[in-house]
Amino acid sequence: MKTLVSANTRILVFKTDIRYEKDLDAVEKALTFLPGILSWNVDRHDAENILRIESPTSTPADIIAAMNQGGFICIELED
Amino acid sequence: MRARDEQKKQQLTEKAIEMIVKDGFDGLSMQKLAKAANVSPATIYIYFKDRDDLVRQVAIHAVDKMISSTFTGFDPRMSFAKGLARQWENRMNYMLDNPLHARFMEQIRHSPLGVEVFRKVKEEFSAIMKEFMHGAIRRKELVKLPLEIYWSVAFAPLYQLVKFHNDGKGMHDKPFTLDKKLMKTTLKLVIKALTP
Repeated sequence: MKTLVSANTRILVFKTDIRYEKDLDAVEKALTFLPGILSWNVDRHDAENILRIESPTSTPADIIAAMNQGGFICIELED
Repeated sequence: MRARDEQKKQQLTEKAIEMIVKDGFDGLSMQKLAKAANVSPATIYIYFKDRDDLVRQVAIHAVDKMISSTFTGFDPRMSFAKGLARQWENRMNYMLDNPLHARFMEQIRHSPLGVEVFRKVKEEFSAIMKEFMHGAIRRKELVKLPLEIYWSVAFAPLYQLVKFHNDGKGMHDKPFTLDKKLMKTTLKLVIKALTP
């Protein structure tokens, strides 16, 4: 479990294969069906294409499943 | 719990400054920072959204530190001699105690990010320093000069001395260390030159 940033928002971090600007629309689509995502972003300067998600409710497994369904590789980075 | 988190963020911020000074902006990556700070990359992303956010937050932190150091115990309504002495002491302490920060500030000053971060600072800074200068001119403690000349006399000597100090040598490569006594001797001359 990751460090809490506020009362109940967790920050989840994944390495992915989101490489291109055009992939971001597909990520948006993949994540829409998950409730409770406060924000997400991809660090495009990072070699591991880090996906960072702030959510009080989603579990890493939820996100990995949604991303895989959207056609992306998505592996949780543990603390 | 929260206090410990802030400490970790502080530690990552200082480490990032060290890396940027050593290897430049391009030399900084989340992976490298994680390794250098002995934490997992995931931990870094708890505090910083991405690399751009890291660099921005680091720059804002450094600028805040410079401002608060410069204005500690300073009031723009102070007499010119007192106020300038306080400014010299604060600026010297900041530069000598935080050599990495001082170098980092030079690095970001001319980058696009620096221009953005400094815009806010410049307003704050110049408003206070203008009040100080105009008050001193009104009280006839300071000669009226074009700003560039005022700055060149009032502050540039200090920056040159710090530069000698950081190089470890002065004119003709002779060893040089800046101490309070030397600083005060120079400051006296500066105040003498600027007094009407």
